[in-house]
Amino acid sequence: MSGYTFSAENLKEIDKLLKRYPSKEALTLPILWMVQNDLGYLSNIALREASKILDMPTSHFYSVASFYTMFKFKKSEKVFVELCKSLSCELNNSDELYEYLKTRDDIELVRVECLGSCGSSPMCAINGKYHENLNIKKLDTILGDKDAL
Amino acid sequence: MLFKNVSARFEIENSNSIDVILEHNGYEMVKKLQEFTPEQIIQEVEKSGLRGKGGGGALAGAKWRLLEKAKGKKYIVINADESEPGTFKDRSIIEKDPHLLIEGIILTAYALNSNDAFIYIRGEYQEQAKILQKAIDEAYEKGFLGDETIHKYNIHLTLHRGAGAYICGEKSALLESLEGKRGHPRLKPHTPSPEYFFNNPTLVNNVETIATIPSIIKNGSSFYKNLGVEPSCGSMLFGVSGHVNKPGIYECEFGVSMLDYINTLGGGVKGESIKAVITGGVSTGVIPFEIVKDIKLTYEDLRKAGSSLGTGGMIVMNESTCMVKALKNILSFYHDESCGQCTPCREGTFWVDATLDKFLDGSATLEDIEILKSNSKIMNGKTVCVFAPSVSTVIDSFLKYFQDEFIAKIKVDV
Repeated sequence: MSGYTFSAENLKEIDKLLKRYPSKEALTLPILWMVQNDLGYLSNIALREASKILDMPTSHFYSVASFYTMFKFKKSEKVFVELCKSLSCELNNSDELYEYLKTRDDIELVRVECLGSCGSSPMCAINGKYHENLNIKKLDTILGDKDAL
Repeated sequence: MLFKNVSARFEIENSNSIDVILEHNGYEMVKKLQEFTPEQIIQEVEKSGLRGKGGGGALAGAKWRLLEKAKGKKYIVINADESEPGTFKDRSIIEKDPHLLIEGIILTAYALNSNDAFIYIRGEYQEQAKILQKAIDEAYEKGFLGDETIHKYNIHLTLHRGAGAYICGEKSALLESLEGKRGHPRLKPHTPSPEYFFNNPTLVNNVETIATIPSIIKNGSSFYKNLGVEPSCGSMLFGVSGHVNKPGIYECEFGVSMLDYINTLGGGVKGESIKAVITGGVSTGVIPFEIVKDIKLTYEDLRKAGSSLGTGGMIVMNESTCMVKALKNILSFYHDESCGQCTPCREGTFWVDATLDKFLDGSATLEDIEILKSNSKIMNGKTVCVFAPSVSTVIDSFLKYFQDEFIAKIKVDV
């Protein structure tokens, strides 16, 4: 089993943050983000490494991470599409986008709660990046250009 | 009708860059920081009548005073966990004038004798977090933040990303999350008290509230107090979305007519007519057109109408909107986002969500109307935070004004 090491840059950032917060427990979310940004998900081995740095049990990281919907325990193999389903998007036909996206098997689709783009609805985030004022045609073009995603 | 105070620099090209903003009076008040005493700043904020822009609308000065009186190391935390459907105003500040927010944070920290501030930004705002981090880095480089600042007051500012939990916008849940825990709201004390971050007294304020501080210090409290309609003093980044032609964020003084706002700034309703408006994010009640047409955007007017101003993010619905489906949308949001700590909220949101499904699939009976009402009652006033009571308000308002539509969905067995 290969190990996990935090990059020198991340270790430097951790050192900086340890001085900023009154307790190292507060670094839980920042460290979880570091791992997820690095691997695309939270791996068991990385969380064990994180537990050594903060001197807290690995279970703590699981307990906290499982509360937050953005943390993943499995890597998305496909393009990750988060379609906003909140009211302003629904009023502007996000259901139509949902019906369309359901037919595509080249993406991993989830319907998420408000992403704060009500003024430019309907919208979705593709691999985390916001795409707003969408319609099927626009969405089709965006998803067609795999290199740009 | 537009009144640009916080949004004054939004239209400037590259307004989120420090070099640009320094040419447009950026950090003007921070440069003059030592001309003010902390007490002067607190008093200006108290006299201005500034109210928290995160939804509650409590007086900012009173909240500041609680922290000022507290003993020990103090922290300032900025709530940028904007997740309320219909709300996207803080995002506009972060994207278009992050340095205004940072200037406000420096003034606040100085006034309250704190050297450490945090911005808790929702995880989904990845691009916005990058913009904000760049702004923070620039402010460090230019000597506005750090250990040796040009204004001779040391302050560190750290950006902290959330990870997709609506409840972390509730200030005590936000602090739990900032402490590295699950975001469960805390029990509230019976007497007014500051918040606590690892047992240190802490101020939690919304992005827009803090971004308003520089203008109050620059122009004086009377400038701000004279805007709007007392006790709703000042201006606010109201937002409008849903069935309108020009959705967006438009800053106005308090007291403008809701209908004028929708028609003038929001470009009017998309469709034939306005059926109803959710007044300030989905946690506030819905009001039908008959009320919308006469209402003014103040905390008091909206409370009188049985709703509240909330975050100022209005969702307009036209005549084609199915109110049962709209409520179902909102309840499915609440069901997803209940943190699960309190039973009435965790189970109540589940039951109402499931009951609304029955209306939509045609299996509801008259008894289900009573189930909605009794669930609403059970959720109100029995939980740690105001999440469940807000759900109650929403359910009650939909049933108060649009019960006919719910009844129309009931198919009577022959």
